[in-house]
Amino acid sequence: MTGRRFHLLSALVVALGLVLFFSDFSRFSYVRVVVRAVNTLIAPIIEFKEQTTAELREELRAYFYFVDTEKENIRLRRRLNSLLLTEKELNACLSELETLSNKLKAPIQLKRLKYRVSRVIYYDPSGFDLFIVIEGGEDKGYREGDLVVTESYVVGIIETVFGSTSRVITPFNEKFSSSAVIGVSPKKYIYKGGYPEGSLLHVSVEDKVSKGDEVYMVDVKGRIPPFLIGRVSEVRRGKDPFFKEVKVKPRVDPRAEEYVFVVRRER
Amino acid sequence: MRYTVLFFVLVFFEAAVLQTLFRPGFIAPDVVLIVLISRAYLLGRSTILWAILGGALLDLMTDTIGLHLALETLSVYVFLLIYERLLFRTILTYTVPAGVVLLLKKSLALLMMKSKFSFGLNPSVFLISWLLEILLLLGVYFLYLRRKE
Repeated sequence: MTGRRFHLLSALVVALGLVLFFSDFSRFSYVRVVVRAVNTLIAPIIEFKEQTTAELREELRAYFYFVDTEKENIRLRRRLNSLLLTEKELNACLSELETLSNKLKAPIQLKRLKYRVSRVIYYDPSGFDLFIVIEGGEDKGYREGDLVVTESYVVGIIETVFGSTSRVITPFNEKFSSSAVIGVSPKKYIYKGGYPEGSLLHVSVEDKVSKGDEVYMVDVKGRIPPFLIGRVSEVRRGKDPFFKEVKVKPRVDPRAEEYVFVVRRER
Repeated sequence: MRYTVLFFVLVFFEAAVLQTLFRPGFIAPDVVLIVLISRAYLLGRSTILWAILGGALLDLMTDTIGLHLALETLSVYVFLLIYERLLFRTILTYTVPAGVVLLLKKSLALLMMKSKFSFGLNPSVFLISWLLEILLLLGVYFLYLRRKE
């Protein structure tokens, strides 16, 4: 190719390309006919290209899905290992406690808790966090009234048991009620759920309750250790002259929970 | 004949596979341009016709009328302009002009597309794509071009 023709051809093609790109020339009706004709000629190739692209996208999507699943598996395995370690530590503490109580000759009625680990699979869509749904129901032997907790605080109580899932009402739910104590005080009250704060019923005016005190759920029969419900957020004089009105902010954030322990009620 | 088949296969590969793997598609490693540059290195100015054909085909397949036509031609043209002024052939006389031309083509494509459309671009994707092109250039040089010199 001679010098002048080479430069001229290159310059013309570059200019044509730029004009075609910036002017949307291909939308003109005259050009459309040409484009359509060219497209008809190379239609099988375009079609094959589209098929290849679609399959490749599908494969890529599957690949990334498996990568994500693998990452999730690794995370869950770590979490499980950590929970197993916690369980071992707890067992060690229990045996130590038993040994100690034997030595002191002050036997304590310690029964090992029957519990199972469940995954939270659904949250309250209303935004009030009144309930959650956990994995496991009749298939795992759950019963209405079983306590649902994390390592240290109350998540809720099983309200309804289905085949393989269970509905758990949280301390934000008005249907939730349980025995409760404030701090280390032996006096028992009734905690009644509510959103955004629950309340402690029958707190007499002489009882010392202040803002920030911890409220624990207690088992009347003493088989289940106390679990934190929340903290006192407000104390004021109620309508009834003999009782205080005590508001409790539940500790649990149901949306932040992924795994919970279901403490089985003794038959 | 072998070159023609390889060229068309690579055009298809770039349009169907590489442009799907990279987002946005035009930022994908330009294997067609690498082949064109390699051909220009061996056979000179006649490669400009292959650049026009390759650019037009890529435009038709990726629905970017004019973008590849202008940039593939311009890249081969600039490469030939630089290359013809060098008196001897070494790996550097091939890779340095080719690397510059590939970067120029990528940057111009980005500028042209940005002037017309709005999209997000990860700078590392741009860099990875260019580094892949450089690796391919070196591969082509050591596996094929060096034997032909």
